[in-house]
Formats: sequence, C-alpha cells, structure tokens
Amino acid sequence: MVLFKTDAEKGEGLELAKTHAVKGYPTFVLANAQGEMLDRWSGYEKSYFTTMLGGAMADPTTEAQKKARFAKKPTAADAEKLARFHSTRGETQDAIALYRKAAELDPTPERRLDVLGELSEGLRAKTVRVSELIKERDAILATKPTDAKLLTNLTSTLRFAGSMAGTPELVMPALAPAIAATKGATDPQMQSEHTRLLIDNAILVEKDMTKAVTLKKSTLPEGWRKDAGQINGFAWWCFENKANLAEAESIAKEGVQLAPAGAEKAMILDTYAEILFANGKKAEAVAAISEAIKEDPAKEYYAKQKARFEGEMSGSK
Amino acid sequence: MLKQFGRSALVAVALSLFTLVDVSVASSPATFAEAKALAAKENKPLLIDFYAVW
Repeated sequence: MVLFKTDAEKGEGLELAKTHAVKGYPTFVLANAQGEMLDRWSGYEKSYFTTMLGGAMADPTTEAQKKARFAKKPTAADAEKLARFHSTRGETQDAIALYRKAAELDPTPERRLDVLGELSEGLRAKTVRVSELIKERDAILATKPTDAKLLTNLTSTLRFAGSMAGTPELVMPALAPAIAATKGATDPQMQSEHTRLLIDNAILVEKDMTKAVTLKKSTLPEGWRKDAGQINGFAWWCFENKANLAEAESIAKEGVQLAPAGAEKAMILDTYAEILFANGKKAEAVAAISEAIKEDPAKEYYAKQKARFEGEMSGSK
Repeated sequence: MLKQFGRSALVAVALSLFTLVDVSVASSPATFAEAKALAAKENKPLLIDFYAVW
C-alpha cells in the first residue's frame, strides 16, 4: 500500500481536499491502483481506524460496484458503507436515507444510533429539525438499552446535537439509563464517562450548579492549578455553563500568567476575555482580547472576537 | 512537523501491525501525482490521509 499524507488546508492538499469533498479531519480515502475510490472514513481513534482499514481491504470494490451490489441485493452492511461515503462528503440527506435503510434491514439500537449521529450532522447543517432527532432518540430509548457503550455513545451524540441546536436538554431522557449502565465501571474511560454523566445530570436535571462544579473539579488531575491548559479547560467549561464565573475569572487570570507566550497564551487570554465580558467587565475584556491578538496575530478569530465585543459594547450604548 | 510525522508513523505502524501490508512510508511520495504513479506502477492501493494542523 502507498500512503500519501496531505495537509488539507495548505498547498496541493487544499485542492485535493476539495476534489475529494473532504469535510473533516482526519479523513482517509482508500483507492485502488487505478485511482478509483474503494472506501473512505473519518476519525483517528485507533481501533476504529484499523477496523475500517481491515474492512476496506477485505472488500476492494469501487463505490459504483458497491452501489450495484446493493441495488441487486440490499444488505445493512452495504447500506452502512454507502451511507458513510455520503456522510464523509457532507451529503447528509443521502447519508441519513442510507443509515435508515441499514437500520430497517438490521433493526438494532446501534444502527439507529448511526441514524441519530447523521441527524446531528443535519442539525449542524440546518437541514434537519430537532423533532426528527427526538423521534429517533425516543425510538432507541424505547428498546430500554442497558449496554454502557451504546448509552455513552448515545449521550455523546445527544450532547453534540444539543449544542448544535441550542437545546442541551436533548440528552436528558438518556441520562438515567446511561448513569445506571456506567455505575461501578472498572474501565477508566467508562468511569470518566460516568462522572461526565453525573455532571450533566447535576446541571440539567438537578439544576445544582454547585454540585456540577464540584464534580467537574473532581475530574481534573492533581496540580491542575499550575497547568495553563487545564486551567483554560476548566475556566472555559465554567463560561459555557455560565457557572462559577467569579472563580473562573480569577483562575483564568492565573492561567494567563502561567501560559507560555504565543498561541497558548492567546487561547487562555480569549477564555479570560469571554469570562470578563460575561461578568460585565467589558473594557477589560477588550484589553484581554487585544493581548491575545498580539500573542497570536495570525489567528483571525481573535480579531473577530474583539470586533464582536466592541460591537456589543456600542450596541448597548 | 513532528506532529505530522508522528501521526503518519502511527498510521504506518497500525497498518503494518494490523494488516501485515507493506506500507511505503519511508519513500512517501511528495506529490499526489507521484503517489498515484507509484500505486499504479506497483499495483498497490493508495491510502490518502487528509489532516490539518491546528
């Protein structure tokens, strides 16, 4: 096999990414020796990558051949493959239709979760309504799943969908079964998921932000207060959840002092600026974001942030 | 640069270990045209890894 790696946002890679309709990174495209596409997938998680590559190598037919095979004899496996090709090209409606077909041919909660995942992408693209997603979510939950992996994937997808739609409560009905399924987990990743679910529950169901903040702090490593990156993560979480903003402001300020000059300092200055603005300290927010621009002048985002802050300040006069 | 090489090395190791496929990474082509030509010449599949450095 020949491996060709390309930065999709520079030089030749930029044009190549356009011709291959690459919508996210990393995306892998496997072609035969004649340059015809055999398979494509996105994501870098190791076991997923090896599963996808193994599957691709075991079925070295072109997309056209796979389509013809599917038309002749529909199978869930082929529907899923074709759906994935569409999905990684940003062809969401086609992907949804084929994931639905896969779920029809093989009606498992996992297949329905594929549909839900693609509906979430549709929410992002504003081509899918929240009601469609809710219907799919409820159909999965009606099967009363107890598998921890399925339920944590479901809650992750619903969290993402909720953030796309501005409706964080989308995940709520899945929280109780997911918390039950992950309780007592011995796998560190599942334990971490369990705590994350308890945090969501504290925020959305119990409406107890103090509990949520305490739980969130319990997930941070020892010595986090001396790590600019960890501080940035926690302070940003506080900002996103509009919680603990007084402490977040002073912690973010500490993070700015700790961060090395350049892009990292700029990132935490941006967080600090957002928190200052949320706390009504608008002039200080503009000063902080101006510092971010100095630290990382190449990143246009900070200039846009400054323009937004100044725009909101003049708009409120 | 190190991040990119590290990722490609990981991809290559994963490919080698899990598929027992000979992966041409040491002679990784500089351009897509070269990669396509190499794949055609050696009658091997071509895996394109699209990444971005944030």
